[in-house]
Amino acid sequence: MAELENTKSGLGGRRVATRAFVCFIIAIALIMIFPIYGLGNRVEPYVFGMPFSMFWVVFWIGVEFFGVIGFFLYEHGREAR
Amino acid sequence: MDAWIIAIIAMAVYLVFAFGLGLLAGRGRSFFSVSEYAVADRGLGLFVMWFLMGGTIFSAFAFLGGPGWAYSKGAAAFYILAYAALGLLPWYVIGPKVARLGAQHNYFTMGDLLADRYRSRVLVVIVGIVSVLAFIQYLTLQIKGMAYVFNVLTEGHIPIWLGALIAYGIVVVYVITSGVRGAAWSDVLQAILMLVVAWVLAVYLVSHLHGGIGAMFESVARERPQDFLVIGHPGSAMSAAAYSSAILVSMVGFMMWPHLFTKSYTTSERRIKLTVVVYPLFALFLVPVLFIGFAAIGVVPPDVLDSSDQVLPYLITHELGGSGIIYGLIGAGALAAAMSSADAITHGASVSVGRDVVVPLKPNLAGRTQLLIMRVAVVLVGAAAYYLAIFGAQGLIQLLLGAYGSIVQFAPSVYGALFWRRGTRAGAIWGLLVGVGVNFYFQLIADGKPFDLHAGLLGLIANIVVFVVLSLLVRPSDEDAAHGARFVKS
Repeated sequence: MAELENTKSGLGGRRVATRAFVCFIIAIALIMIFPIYGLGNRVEPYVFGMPFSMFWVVFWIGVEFFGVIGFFLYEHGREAR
Repeated sequence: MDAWIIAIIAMAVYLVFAFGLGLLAGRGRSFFSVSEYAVADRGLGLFVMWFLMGGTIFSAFAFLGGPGWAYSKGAAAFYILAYAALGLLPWYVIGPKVARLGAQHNYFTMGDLLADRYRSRVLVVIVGIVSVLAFIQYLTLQIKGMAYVFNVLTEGHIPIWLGALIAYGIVVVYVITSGVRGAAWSDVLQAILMLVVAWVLAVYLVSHLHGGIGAMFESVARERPQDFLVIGHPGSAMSAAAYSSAILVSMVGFMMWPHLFTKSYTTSERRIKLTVVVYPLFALFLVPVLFIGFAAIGVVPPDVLDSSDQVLPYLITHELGGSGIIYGLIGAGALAAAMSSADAITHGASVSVGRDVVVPLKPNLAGRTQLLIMRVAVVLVGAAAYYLAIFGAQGLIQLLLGAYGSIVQFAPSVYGALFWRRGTRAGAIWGLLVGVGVNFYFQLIADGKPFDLHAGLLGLIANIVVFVVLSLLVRPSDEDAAHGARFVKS
């Protein structure tokens, strides 16, 4: 029952969340490719031993991970487990 | 006891486990249900979903090719990380929608959805044929990987043809008996095994050969030209345009692989989203795989390798001492990587042959007959891929390569079906054909590519233009408009 109400009242909210998620996907993709990747495309400084060009990719995968968790909790966090 | 005998025993133990788990997964389920075979009655759990999708990334390509790229191409290997991190993201948006449509209209494949939306059997048959050709190419790679691992780690005592036959034969049997559930459960075992092996191996090799990650990359910077660890500089392995467009194509194309797309039908919206949520972790799990390749720089002289893909086996046989246990463990991990991809692809190919090629040409087949066709297709597709992997055939391989790069061309029709009311049958069919043609031309025939862009992206651009223009040329009838809107709204 609770789930039914949630879907009904959440339909408008869900559409907004989906749009925001699409923007999020595009942003992360743009960060990984040129021209924006050009900012991270250098050997120095080394971070955690990795060249910066690799750290950039790993770092943004981390950001992506927490971003997706955020989206999931926003959309489904209130549902009963 | 000789190292290679221990290695064979260890790999045999693993194979028995994988076989048993694959067979047990289908126990107690209906052997004669198309829905169970194709989509596990839409009831796969979260844990299984994670490893099913995660296992896809850890193919023989990642396990052997990842270190090979890092070793020979440097920064270009970061493409693998970006691809793994981005590939599944679109699923968060399209997966739940596809799952809902699938449950409402009883779809089992991508072709079922396209057939219903565009009311075209021709389109589905084209999709089916391109998919099956691409699947065979993909399988051929995995089988070569398995055979290679067996051969090297048993020091040549198991010939290439036999290693491939044993490992892949097991896959074929459990896919036939247990369908998607067999593939899914054995993937859990395989994914865990290869993750453990990759991490242990990377930690050991990096510390043993270099003393740490920082020291390793400093040595890489000394050993290789200045531009090795960046993209798009004069001495880099990949240009900025090639790197970027390859990532884009992977991101759009990843979910267009029919065996992955079909997984939308196997579970619920919540589980689809949770699978996407954890997926970036699988991309991070690939980091040590690349470290293995970087660790080899300055240690493995380039002229001892026939191809850079051999860098991992070379390290194992030359840098880890002759311990049979380690050979066996790594062999099992590498077999797991290849088999977990091979089972999903074999299964996907069999469903594609049944639902997307045979059923549209010969409708009204009974469920049992469809299922029989799918199970026969497992054997036929498997035999074709095995034959190609062991004996090769130049002309065919070219054809398959073209199909492999063409998977991304399904994207406009699929996204169009889900988000655009105006898409038409003619637009979808001609867009797909033009896209496949352009990709084929630039991948295999033309000497250079405009701006060094990925052939798939060039095809995709042509595809979208044709799809949109042809669709807009026709004013839809009220009935057509309502039909298109039904898919967009659901």
